[in-house]
Amino acid sequence: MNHRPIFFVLAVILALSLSCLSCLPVACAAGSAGATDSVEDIQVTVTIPDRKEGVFAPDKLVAGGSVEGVRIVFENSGTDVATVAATIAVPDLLSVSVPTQELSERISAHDNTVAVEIGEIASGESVTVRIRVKPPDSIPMKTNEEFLVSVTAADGSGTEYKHRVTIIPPPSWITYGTIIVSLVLVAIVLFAVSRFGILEMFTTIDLVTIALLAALAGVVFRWFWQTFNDLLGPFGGLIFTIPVSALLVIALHLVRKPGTATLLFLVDQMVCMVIWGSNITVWLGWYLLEGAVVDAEVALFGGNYADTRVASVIYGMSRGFISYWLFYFLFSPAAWKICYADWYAWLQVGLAVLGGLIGGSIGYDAARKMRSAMM
Amino acid sequence: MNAAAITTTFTTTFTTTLAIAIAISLSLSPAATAGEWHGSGTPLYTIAEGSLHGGVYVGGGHGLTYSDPYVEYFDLPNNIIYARLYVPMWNYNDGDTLTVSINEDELATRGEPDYIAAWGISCYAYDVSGAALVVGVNKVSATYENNNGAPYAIFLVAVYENQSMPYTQFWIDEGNHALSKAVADGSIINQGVAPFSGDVDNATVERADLWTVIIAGTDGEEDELWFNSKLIGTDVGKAKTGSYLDFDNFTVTDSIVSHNNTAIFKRGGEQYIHPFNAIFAVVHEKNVTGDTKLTVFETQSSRGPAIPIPVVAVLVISLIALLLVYAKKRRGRG
Repeated sequence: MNHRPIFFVLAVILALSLSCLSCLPVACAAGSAGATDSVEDIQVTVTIPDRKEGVFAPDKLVAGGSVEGVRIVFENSGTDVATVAATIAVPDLLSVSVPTQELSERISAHDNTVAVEIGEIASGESVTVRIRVKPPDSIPMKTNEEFLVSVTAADGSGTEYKHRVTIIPPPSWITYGTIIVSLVLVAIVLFAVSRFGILEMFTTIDLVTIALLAALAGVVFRWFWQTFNDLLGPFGGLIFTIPVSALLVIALHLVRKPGTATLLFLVDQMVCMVIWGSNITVWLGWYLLEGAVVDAEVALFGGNYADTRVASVIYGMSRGFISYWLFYFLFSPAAWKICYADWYAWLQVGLAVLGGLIGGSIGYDAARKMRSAMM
Repeated sequence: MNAAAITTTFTTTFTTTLAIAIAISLSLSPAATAGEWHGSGTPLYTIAEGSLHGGVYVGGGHGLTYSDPYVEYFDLPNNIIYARLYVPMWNYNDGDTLTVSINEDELATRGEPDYIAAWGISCYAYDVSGAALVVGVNKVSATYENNNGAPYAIFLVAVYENQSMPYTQFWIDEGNHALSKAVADGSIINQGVAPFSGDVDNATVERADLWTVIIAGTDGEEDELWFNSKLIGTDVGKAKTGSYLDFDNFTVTDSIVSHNNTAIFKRGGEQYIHPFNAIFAVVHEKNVTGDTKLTVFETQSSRGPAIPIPVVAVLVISLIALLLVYAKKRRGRG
């Protein structure tokens, strides 16, 4: 057998993985504080969004997103008590609200400027001010904005701290693109079905096999994953990616028709929509892509329907990579307006690829036994 | 070095690298995953109702942030006679815990929530009438053991007495009703009702307010909120108060009826949406007077089946199919 296509795909996956590693974020200081003698010991820290640190991308907001918290900490690192006040100038693009907090009576807001009479901060102590900002519904392009925190001491001396945030536009092009891709994919499927009689290629046994495997993925293993993923902590996703990859490989090996993977995931999503109420209408093309990629690979390998372990593993890994990459880098910011930290998103993608590797291998063994039993 | 030795070395290196990677990942990463299926939850019902010279404070926020501790502040009036605290929580699983502190006074750690639905969307409810609440700013914080979940919000409803204020009737409804297209529990659920049972003298009403708390609404998927027969909001659930959270206040003075007022949450175009609270307060004209009345009802809750019927059905069909395949194989050999 000619293994060049397989090595080509492996090389592509390796190249993508390496490029991903090179994309890992580099820590950078977004702000700088200039100090005078009187307030030099006041350290200002701005955290936005005020979410669990590490998991979500820092200093990044998505236009159209929900209200996000901003935490501004004033810490006295000196040895003497400091008496200070501060003003926080919020970028005009963001609408501001001030929630109830310990300093509520000392906080006033006018337009996008929040004034805080902080008062005394003892040595080594800190004071936290919380505000909430709402990103704009829409902006034309990615925009960098600055929070300007001005700290004034009792003697009138002051310092300024600038904290830069990036507001990324609502990924409407992604949304529209996805809808178009969805429609195009569905149109292609319908065209192929009618023009080339693809549906006639699938026997009743094929369709029953696909329906059963899709139901196993969409009902049983989805429930199993949701129920028990906590047991594996960060590896909880493996409980889903391993069986789904195995089922994908089994479907390919047993049905052996072009379009099997796409049909499998189409039925899987339809089952999920009915049983669990999943939203697939807009994002159908998105979900079908993981199947379409595998079908393309089957064609690229000259009709290798998971006949070798290497091919099975590649199909599993590809499916894991595509589905999780789409989820974390397109679906999440587009649908939920949330940006995950790059390291976290890539870790999840890596785990999905690992699950695909294991599931592909397991699926290969299971598929061969099942095929021999059915022959 | 021969081929076998190279293979052994490679295998050992690979295994070691994988183990280290897994160990590092375990120590660093929480996964974005969910809890088990818990059914359609608890329809909203009245947990407390009454009337008094005074008012009802409703406040809270601020969306799913995964912060731990999760902190919310409340600016409260004097003479609170009844207070109910809510911590809606994402991803409850058996063994998870929640510990709430009010002004640094720690309440007993809780395990199982009061209300739970769908994939672990849950809510802890506390009667904090006798808790360490003070006049002015109160700090409420929640720490939790929940592998992949976190609070959606902290909410406080407080009924306070003030003889100089108008006479006010109030109803506090709570629950966690999963309005969803899912048929895992037998059928789709298109609407949920929050009842405010009892009479209201329309002739003396000065003002009427409705507060709602909704979890998991999606912007652009149009739900509807009705008060009696009047539509008072569309696409109310759109995560405008924070991630996955909607906290709203409606003036419904013109929509009240004299008997059994009702708020109706209609799922509409939402795939799924969870009404958690509806609080209704009717303020009467100054010439209306009355005694303080407070009725607190028992907590109701429901949990879905441990294993949804579709899961069992698919498993049984799969097993039958597998048995048929192997029966065929045995026949072929025999």
